[in-house]
Amino acid sequence: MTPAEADQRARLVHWHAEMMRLRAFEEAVAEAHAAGELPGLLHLSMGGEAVAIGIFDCLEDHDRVFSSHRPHSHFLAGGVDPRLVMAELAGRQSGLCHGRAGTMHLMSDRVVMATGIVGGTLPVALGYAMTRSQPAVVACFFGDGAVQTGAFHESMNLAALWKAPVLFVCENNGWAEFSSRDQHTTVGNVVRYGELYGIPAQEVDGSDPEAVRRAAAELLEPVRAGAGPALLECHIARLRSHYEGDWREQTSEGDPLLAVERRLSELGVHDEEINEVRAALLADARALCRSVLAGDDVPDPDDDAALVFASPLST
Amino acid sequence: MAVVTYAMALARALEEALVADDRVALIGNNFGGLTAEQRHFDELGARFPDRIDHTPWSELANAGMAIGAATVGMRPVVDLVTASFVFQAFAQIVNEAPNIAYTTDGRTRAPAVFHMLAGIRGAGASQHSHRPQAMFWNTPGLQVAVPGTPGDAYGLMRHYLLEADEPCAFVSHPKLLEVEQEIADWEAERLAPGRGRIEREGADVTIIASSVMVTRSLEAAERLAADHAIDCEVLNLRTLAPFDDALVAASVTKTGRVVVADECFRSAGAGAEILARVAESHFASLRAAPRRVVAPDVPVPFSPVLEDAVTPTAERVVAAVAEACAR
Repeated sequence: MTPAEADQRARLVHWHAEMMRLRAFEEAVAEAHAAGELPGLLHLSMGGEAVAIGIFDCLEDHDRVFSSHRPHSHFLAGGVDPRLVMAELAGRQSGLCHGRAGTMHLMSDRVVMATGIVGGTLPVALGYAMTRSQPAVVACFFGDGAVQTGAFHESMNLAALWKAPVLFVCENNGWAEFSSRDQHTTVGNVVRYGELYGIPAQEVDGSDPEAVRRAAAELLEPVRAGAGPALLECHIARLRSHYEGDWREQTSEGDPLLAVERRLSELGVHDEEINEVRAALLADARALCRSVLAGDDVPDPDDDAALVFASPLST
Repeated sequence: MAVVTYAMALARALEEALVADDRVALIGNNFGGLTAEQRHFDELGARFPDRIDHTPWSELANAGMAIGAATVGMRPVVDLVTASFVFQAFAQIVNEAPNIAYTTDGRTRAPAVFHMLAGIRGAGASQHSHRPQAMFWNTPGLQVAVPGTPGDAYGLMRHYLLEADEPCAFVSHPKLLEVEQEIADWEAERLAPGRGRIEREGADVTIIASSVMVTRSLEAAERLAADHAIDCEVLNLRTLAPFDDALVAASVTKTGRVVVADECFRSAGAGAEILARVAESHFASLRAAPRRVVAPDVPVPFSPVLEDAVTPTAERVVAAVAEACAR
């Protein structure tokens, strides 16, 4: 093995464990949700793990990220404590947002916010980016369904016009809820909007963390230098359907974990090692979920009025 | 005699309208949301594939398209799915559709129907739980349907698709979709907008309800009769605009006590306007301060415990009525 191959192997081993950490978290969440132990409508990010890992690998501490309605992987890859996210999904006081937000409305510092509204964070990310000083940037994740909203085009136009330091990251899974991409647009790939708005754009196989990282790093260089926004389209598989409990239009093709594991095998990593990593991370995630669900930190409704305004007078 | 769910009755109205009038068209077809009741609309979709557009997430354009088509004689219904998504379409529904008949002296009309599932639904949190009916009621020129029963859903949807001249925000509640009603006479359900119903006659207190609060108020009335010997009259408004002032007047004059049951937020919600009307017109008839059972002014929280705390339930209606009737 050449030194370059050894490097690649070490990096892939690390990324695989990171991707599996995100996957295991959602496997545990899906199990608890199916058992009726977690409330709400769940949109899992399974299938997008390589995108999350590849993008965050290029980001610095001072960069900020905006997320979508499939936010769990973005928050975990962004370094948010999984216990805080799990407790939020369980509606607990110890959750990231004290049980007020739930799965689709997570908020934190570095990963600023998720949204339950398709395209909802695109203009907010733009505004946040306009306040950043070089070389800090904002990355904004959104699905291909959001590209058919006015918010996408208004945000792209303004970002290009005002040279806002935004990396627009489209996770194109080919579906908007229950309709496939060819049912909702005549525009082939999202990357084409880059040319239209005059900004650098690339498309990549979103199951390959190395490809995502390489493309994002290239695109981010001019963004950091003040040249304006860039667009990255990542083709991914939607491994689960639109929401948990529905089984239409799900697939196991294009699973980024399997793709990375095949590459690891080629690089000589044994299946036993891979399986050990998987099993250990899944056990960790399940244990975390059990531990959160065993807690009795139910939020207190009497605290709510004080949260609505900075200076509450009366409600 | 048929026992039907709200969703079945709504699907029946859509089906009858599609059969009766070629100009009726569906823009979107997820009226049942993510519930098992969606199957009735899927069946409808399979029967009328050419009369349904499956749209991308472009609420603004979907709503505007319906308005434009309606001005030249089509009778479209747009399914906006979750009512919280309607904000993406507000510019069209609130700022285009309602002005058209007014500004053309009625020569051009835009009888489009905007359907949405609005309500505190179980962990929908701040972004999937809106009840925007009061915002629509604050829009002259727009009618606002808030059906409380399967029969209401049938009668009102049928009216707005086949007979109405006005655009309508049609506000269904996700928790009503599976609610059942025995309907013997479908024609009797074809009551015009602006006509409410007395769902339960009573002598002591008037509960003015709409949407899901009709069911909860009827449940409260039974408990109040059994546990407190209070005889409630329950009104189902069916539409907010037009508003059935006469129905309210007759009941309030009789009972002298009023509790409004509404799932909107407290401040400037539908309940606030109803209470204002009662105070303005029936002050002399009132024997106690009128009360409202509404959601407090807090974004709807995710956690089930917190969500329960802000939901106007049958228990809270019982408590408010007992207070209104206390000597």
